[in-house]
Amino acid sequence: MIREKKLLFPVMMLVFLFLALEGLGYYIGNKRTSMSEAGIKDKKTARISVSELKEKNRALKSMVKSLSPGGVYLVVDTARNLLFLKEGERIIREAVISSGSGNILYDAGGKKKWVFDTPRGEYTVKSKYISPAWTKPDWAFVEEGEDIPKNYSDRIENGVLGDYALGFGNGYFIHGTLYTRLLGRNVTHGCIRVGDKDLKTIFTAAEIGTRIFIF
Amino acid sequence: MWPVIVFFMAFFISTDAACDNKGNLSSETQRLRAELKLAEKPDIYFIFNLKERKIYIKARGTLLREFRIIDMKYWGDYISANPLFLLKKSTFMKPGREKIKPGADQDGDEVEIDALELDDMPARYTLSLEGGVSISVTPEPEGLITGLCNIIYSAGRYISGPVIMVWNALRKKTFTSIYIVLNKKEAQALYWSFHEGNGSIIYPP
Repeated sequence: MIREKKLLFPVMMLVFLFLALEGLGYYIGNKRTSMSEAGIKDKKTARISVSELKEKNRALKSMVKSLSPGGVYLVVDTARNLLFLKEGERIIREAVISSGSGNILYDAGGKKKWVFDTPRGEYTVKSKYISPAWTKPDWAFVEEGEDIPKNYSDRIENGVLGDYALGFGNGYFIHGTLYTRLLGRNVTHGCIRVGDKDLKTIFTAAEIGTRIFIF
Repeated sequence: MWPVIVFFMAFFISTDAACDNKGNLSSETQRLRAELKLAEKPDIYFIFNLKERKIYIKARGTLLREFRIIDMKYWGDYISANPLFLLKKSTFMKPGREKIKPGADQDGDEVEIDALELDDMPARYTLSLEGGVSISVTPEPEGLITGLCNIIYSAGRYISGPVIMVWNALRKKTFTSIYIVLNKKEAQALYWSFHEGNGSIIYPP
């Protein structure tokens, strides 16, 4: 009983301190929320008139908009595995795709590592190919447990990239696929696979320099 | 007497409204400048418009995708109008990448696919941005379990928030806590798309 009473005091003190800390935190937080709003309003009321601010905002909005692509462009949503061929805000074509699996591959020595993500950001169409042949990179051989060939010709494989391919740099392509039932899934090594019909439309519409936004 | 009272009331109301309008416009100017900075780079950026309750994924000023914020709470310091970059994504269980076994059939023709997909992404996580901004994302409750998880998660946030606030106040640093509820798929998509180093702009409510 006495021991319990001895324990009760420090426990109560700790609870009290914690509650005091919480209360102090809420006080500071609420004060800062209201103070910051008031402070910003004071700053803003200085010098510039409402009409000038409106004009400035209009100009800034048009400057931001001027950075948007002028003609057609491609938007790749790797989360939903969708590709949009767009012009302005209009969607010309929506295609189901396959994008990077996110898997990792190490070589036999464990020194070299490949991460199969589709790169994100802004890219442009750098090359266009009809009936493209695939030049197999090192990882393709490592993945199959084969030795990396010394002859360039041993890397060439036909018929796996579909009818067309659009290169967007660093060995990444938008191309066709033999595995159409896997469209909509994340299964590739970073390239973007598209179904035949959609690919033809995209290939026809996209020129060298067409912008590609991948996210 | 009455006309004088009405005149003064109208004067004060209109002056206050004009100040509010000016404040909003000024805030927008600063944020548009910040967006211009981000849009000049070839990277994806994010706009959290808490006033419109929308999240926009953009690049070069082009809207790529938008999410609707179902519910939102904002607490703490005023957020800087400058671009804020994502420092860290924290979640209870981080999605892991599969290691490929060399020599195994990897042509993707199997029924079972070992890949990092949207469904593997968490829907409940915290985004830590520059300037002491912390965005907690939770999914819209769809049943008893998600509802219960949201309550536990919110309780944790309510308990830890004030402690972090005191800690930051002692270090003379700012702290802002934003709580966002999204549709589950959109919460997962935001986690998928928003990466460390990506820029963002936050429009306060």
